[in-house]
Amino acid sequence: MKALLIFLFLTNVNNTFAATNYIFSPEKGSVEFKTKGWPNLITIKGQGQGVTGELKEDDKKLSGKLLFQLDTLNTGIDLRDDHMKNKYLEVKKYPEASLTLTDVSLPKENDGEINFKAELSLHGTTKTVTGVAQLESENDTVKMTAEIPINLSDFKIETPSYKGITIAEKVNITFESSVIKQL
Amino acid sequence: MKLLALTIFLSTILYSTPGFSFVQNVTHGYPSCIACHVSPNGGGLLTDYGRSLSNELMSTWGVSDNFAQPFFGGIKNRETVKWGGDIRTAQTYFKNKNINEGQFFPMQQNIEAGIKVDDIMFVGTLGLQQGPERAPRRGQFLSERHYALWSPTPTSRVRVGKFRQTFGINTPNHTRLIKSLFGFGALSETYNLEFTQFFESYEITLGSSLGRLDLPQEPASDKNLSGHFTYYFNGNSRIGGSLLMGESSQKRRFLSSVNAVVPFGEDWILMSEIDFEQSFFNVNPQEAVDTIASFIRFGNKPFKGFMWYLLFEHASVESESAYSLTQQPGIGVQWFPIPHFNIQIEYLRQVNNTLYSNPNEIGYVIFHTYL
Repeated sequence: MKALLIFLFLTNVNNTFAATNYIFSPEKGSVEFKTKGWPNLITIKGQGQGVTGELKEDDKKLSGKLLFQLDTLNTGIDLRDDHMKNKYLEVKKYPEASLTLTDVSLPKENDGEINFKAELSLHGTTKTVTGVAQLESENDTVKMTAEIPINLSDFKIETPSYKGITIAEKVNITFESSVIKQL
Repeated sequence: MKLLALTIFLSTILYSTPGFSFVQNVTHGYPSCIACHVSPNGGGLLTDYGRSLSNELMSTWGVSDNFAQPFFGGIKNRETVKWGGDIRTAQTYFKNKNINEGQFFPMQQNIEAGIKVDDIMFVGTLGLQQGPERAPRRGQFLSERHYALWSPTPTSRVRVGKFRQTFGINTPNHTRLIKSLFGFGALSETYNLEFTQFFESYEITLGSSLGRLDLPQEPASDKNLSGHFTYYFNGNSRIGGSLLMGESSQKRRFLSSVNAVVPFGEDWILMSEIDFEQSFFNVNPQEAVDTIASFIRFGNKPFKGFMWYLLFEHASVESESAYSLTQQPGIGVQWFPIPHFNIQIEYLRQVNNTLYSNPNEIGYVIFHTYL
């Protein structure tokens, strides 16, 4: 009986302080950016593989670091990719972008929309960015989508320009991942 | 009737002078024409970016940047001077129970230049009218376009001169019934004033045409007012509408149009337009003549620079005293093996309600080199 009480107590303590890990795999998501070219109003989109890393949920707060390999970005035009990666993002020097979250409050039932602040490291510069994330929980997986607008100059990225087309300063980054929950 | 059909076919295909804008590039994030063309409604003189895109996006095999320059590297574009031009030849084929005819001939030979002075670009073509041996004015001097284009702001254009009016979808093929039936077919450049404003997700063009000032005896050329609206969405699609009210020495007309370019997945593209015209001819001003024409093309890109497509065109002309229905399903391919060169092959089976048992088999191969 005593052993049973001890077991129940320990189980309860374990549940009370349980932390959930969210594991991100590149093949289970994607990162996309979208911007405009001026003055000719073209839409430029690029897509890369999903982020990697792990976020930890503790007491309804989410923390952790996600990484994205910039070299996986593809805009559909080889020359544009070459300019983007080598001239502007300098991926050989700065191959990864990272997003660090610290104590981001989660919605009830881990489902719904949250506004968050995070540290984005890109092109050798780290800045606080704000974004909006959407969470959809289903059994052991959570679908996360997030949108983060950035200004290129905040990350010391020269404004891309080519043969009369200049890219807008503001770039919208979205990422989505199907994440496995691990208790 | 069949000879008339042949004559109409030849008069559109043989003398058509498409500006070769490629509206399907909307699916790659280029909803407006001015990324690649100097002209706000596309066609003709390319921007430096357009030349680069031809190399990078549109051709199966890219070549050196120098080869993509005007005259295959023979001339360098400068900030204030741009060069271009078109050389096209065609092999046509027309067959029914009464006629079986094929012709090979030059369609178009010209050079085009644009000179920029401050915010105004002066653009003009110089060439000779081409076509088969019996073509009128063949071999005579022809300037298809000459206009001044003012850019008061980076996102607005005012254009005055001779050019093709903005109306409907910017397809380069002016043999389409949606073009040829409504005065936008072969050699239909008129003297116009147009204002275009580009916004982030739409564009508006307002225009007025004075018709063919250089050919005042041309009866079909009307004076008109027009408006055109295009909305871009999803970064890869567009829908648009156009209205026109015109009057010529033959008739008054009201013309309206809706069109769309929408991708399906990565490799499929749908282009479609439907036009409605109500005309009142001077010979019988009380009787309305209603013309409806539609065009739908579904294309697939199995690899870069190559597209095959299915299309269907229809046109009906109806008045109290007459009714005519033409339908033409077809299939075609268009291939850009290298920048500034393309081959288009198309076959149409044209059936008219008055001659169901004797359809027209129409085909052509066009070789186009953009200088």
